[in-house]
Amino acid sequence: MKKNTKNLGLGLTGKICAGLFALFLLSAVPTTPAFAAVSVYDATRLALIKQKWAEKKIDWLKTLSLLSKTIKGVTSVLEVVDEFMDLLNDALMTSGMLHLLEGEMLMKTKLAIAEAKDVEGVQNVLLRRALETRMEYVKPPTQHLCKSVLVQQLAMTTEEFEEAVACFASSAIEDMFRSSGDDGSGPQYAADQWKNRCKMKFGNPIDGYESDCVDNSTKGMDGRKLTDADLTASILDGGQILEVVKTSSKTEGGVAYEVMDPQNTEQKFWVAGLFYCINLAGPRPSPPVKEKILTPEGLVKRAQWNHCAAMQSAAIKACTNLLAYYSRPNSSNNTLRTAQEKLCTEAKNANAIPKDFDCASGLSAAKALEIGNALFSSEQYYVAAGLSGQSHADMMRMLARAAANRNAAAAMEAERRGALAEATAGLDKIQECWKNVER
Amino acid sequence: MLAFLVGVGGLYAPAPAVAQVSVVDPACNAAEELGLAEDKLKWLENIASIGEILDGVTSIYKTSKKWFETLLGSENLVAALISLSREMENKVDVQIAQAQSVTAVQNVLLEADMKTAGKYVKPPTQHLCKSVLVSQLGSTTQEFKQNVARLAASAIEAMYRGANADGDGPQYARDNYIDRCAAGLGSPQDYPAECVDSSITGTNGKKLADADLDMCTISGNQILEIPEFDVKEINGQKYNVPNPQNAAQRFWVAGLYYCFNLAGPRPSPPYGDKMKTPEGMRAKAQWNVCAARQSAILKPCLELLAENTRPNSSMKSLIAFQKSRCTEADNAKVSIPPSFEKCEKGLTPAQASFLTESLTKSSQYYVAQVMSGASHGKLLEVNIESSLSWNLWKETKVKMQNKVISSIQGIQELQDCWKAAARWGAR
Repeated sequence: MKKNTKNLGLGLTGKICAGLFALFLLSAVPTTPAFAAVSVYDATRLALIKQKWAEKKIDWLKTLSLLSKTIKGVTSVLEVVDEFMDLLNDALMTSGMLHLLEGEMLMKTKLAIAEAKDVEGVQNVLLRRALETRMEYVKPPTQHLCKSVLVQQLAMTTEEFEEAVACFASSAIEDMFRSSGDDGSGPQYAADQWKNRCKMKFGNPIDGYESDCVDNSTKGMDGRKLTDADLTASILDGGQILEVVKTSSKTEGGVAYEVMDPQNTEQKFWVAGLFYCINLAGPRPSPPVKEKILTPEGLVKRAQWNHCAAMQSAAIKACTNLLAYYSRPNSSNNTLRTAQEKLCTEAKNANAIPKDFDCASGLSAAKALEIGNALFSSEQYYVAAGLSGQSHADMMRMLARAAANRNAAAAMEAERRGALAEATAGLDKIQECWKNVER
Repeated sequence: MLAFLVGVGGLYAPAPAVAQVSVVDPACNAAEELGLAEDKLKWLENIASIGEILDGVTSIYKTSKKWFETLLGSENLVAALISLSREMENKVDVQIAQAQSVTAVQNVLLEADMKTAGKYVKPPTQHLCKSVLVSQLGSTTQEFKQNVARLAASAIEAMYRGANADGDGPQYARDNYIDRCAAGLGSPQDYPAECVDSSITGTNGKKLADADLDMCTISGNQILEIPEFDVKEINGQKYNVPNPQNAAQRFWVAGLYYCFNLAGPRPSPPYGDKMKTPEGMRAKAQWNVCAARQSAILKPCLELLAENTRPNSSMKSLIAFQKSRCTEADNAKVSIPPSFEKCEKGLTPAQASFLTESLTKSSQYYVAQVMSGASHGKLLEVNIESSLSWNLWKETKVKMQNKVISSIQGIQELQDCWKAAARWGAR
């Protein structure tokens, strides 16, 4: 047991630092409400401005056709004018002043320009097609579609990471109390649990835990403490940032162990999440080991133990899966962090997440998915769609699909949490299985 | 060793559900692209006077600035618009200055245009065609997956059915030890050294130790490969016996053992003439009920095993087909993880569906649509559909694991069924 105790983080005291914690980090991604038109201006006046702007653009276009008789000229000017309008959109939207109806107005302006172009007698259909292709489809780096595509790639970055974290956590649990002389369901289990809680400072003063077992300095999201963090499913509900704990390798008795060494608040809470899963699993008898297996009784016990262990592995996977879903990589996983930061920054550029969002510290699978979904709820997404020729009705259909997308993600998350609840029933029933081992 | 009855669950590559479809006329399309490119060149060459254009731009900018100031009022401008105006002023100034400093403006424009074209336009072959081919990956694994699951089920369901078998007593316990040892599945912390195989390293450095007790063996964290089989005859009955050739095949056997351990011991049914007694008939009837239920309960485990199983080298046609589709995915700029080993060894159903889902997340997927005439707005709509598809796929993945998790309740409740069978004489 001593080895396994180390495996679960004894020796942590003294290394716990009062790490800085930014409360705003990775909080639920706020999206700009689609219809949050702030009344800091006169809507009628703005509409008038835009109308005049549209008229002015048409005038300019006509003027321009006199200045320049080439399509390229038209293209260049339209690009500049359109860029101006895009910037105007950005500025208005950022300050919460853009209403979708205004987006439609801009779209009409664009249409008016296109009509004006015809009026000005651009005869060559092929040339016009080339122009339109350039204007409408070939995207400069700042285009919204490009950003959106990149943001959607975020979800792919965590695919292998998530499963690896879950299995890393599962292996920590499954390896407990397996050595010769261990006792996974008696006094040793109870004593180790008390020691581990104390070392990790999960103790709650209302239970009379000594002050050595209580952490008053570490603060997680929403100001939560480490107190009882290993006893609550809230640790695995996404409300707290979890970061995969740093470990170091140790070999004892020919067996290699990973010793946990949390470096910051998020890593401490990750360890608390792991301990939550350990507590969920509860005590189990230690199996017969080595030569003790090779007796008639040992063989039967061990076969039964293996059956119970296989079932427990499944039941616990619901918990470690959830832990992994909310875990972000630590600083030793720089490749993943860098890839995520690049894509996350695009989400910022697309106004899907706040500008001060921490993209540099890596993202959990849950957060990556959330950012991807938030994109479709941002005003900017529909402004871009509107300016690209989508009709009002098209965009309403898009909104419905975005809702379906979000619901699918929510169903998946509910499925994960439901599995955790369901696993507890299974874990209860496994008690019978463990009793058979002890018989 | 778990064995498989010969003839159950053949593992052959299914014919693709959708043959290669000619979705475009490449010749026509190439001509169209070429024509467009030529027109663009002419168009650029015909620029009469860049200076004139720049004058136009400058004039427009100045007009717009003046217009804005007049329209909005110099004192009451929204702060954002002031900063916008300044930003615009700088931007246009820089743009004009840059353009003016270049003597061969036409060449610069042409070069920029060609760069843009090179970056975004015209993949060597049509992207739609590639996409259709990549999407066929799903159909390659559908039958394969069910075949693997069925094969694994047959192995477990056929256990301890012989005349002297004892699936719930000392024989089961002894076999459990012997099989674990033979497969090198013992953990060094609690098994004798001869049962431990430290030489095999799987995905993420995973060892074989306890791989048959750990759900992670079948949950996608480890690449599994259907093993080679030897045919052996035992008591006149032919069996396929796994003969794993590499680490991935060793882990597959461990995965099968995981499902077998999950099932746990069960009494053996009455055999031969013993079935023909009134008690034997009742025992067998009860046993059959339990066996049917156990078969259903174990299916989630076996399907998860199959979901993460790739073909072995004997399935050349399936691997070749998957490799060709995977190459199309690569050509379509889909990011293929290193763990896929360039698809040289075939793909698991999970890997195949990952590639299909990834296809619609690649930048190239959208570029190709742009070139096919889809509007920017339509592509933003496609982006949402792609995300929806991803989320539904993820939900399916989560559910597949959760079914295994929830099956353990059923497995435990089945104990009463087996006890009833044992009361009637099942061994």
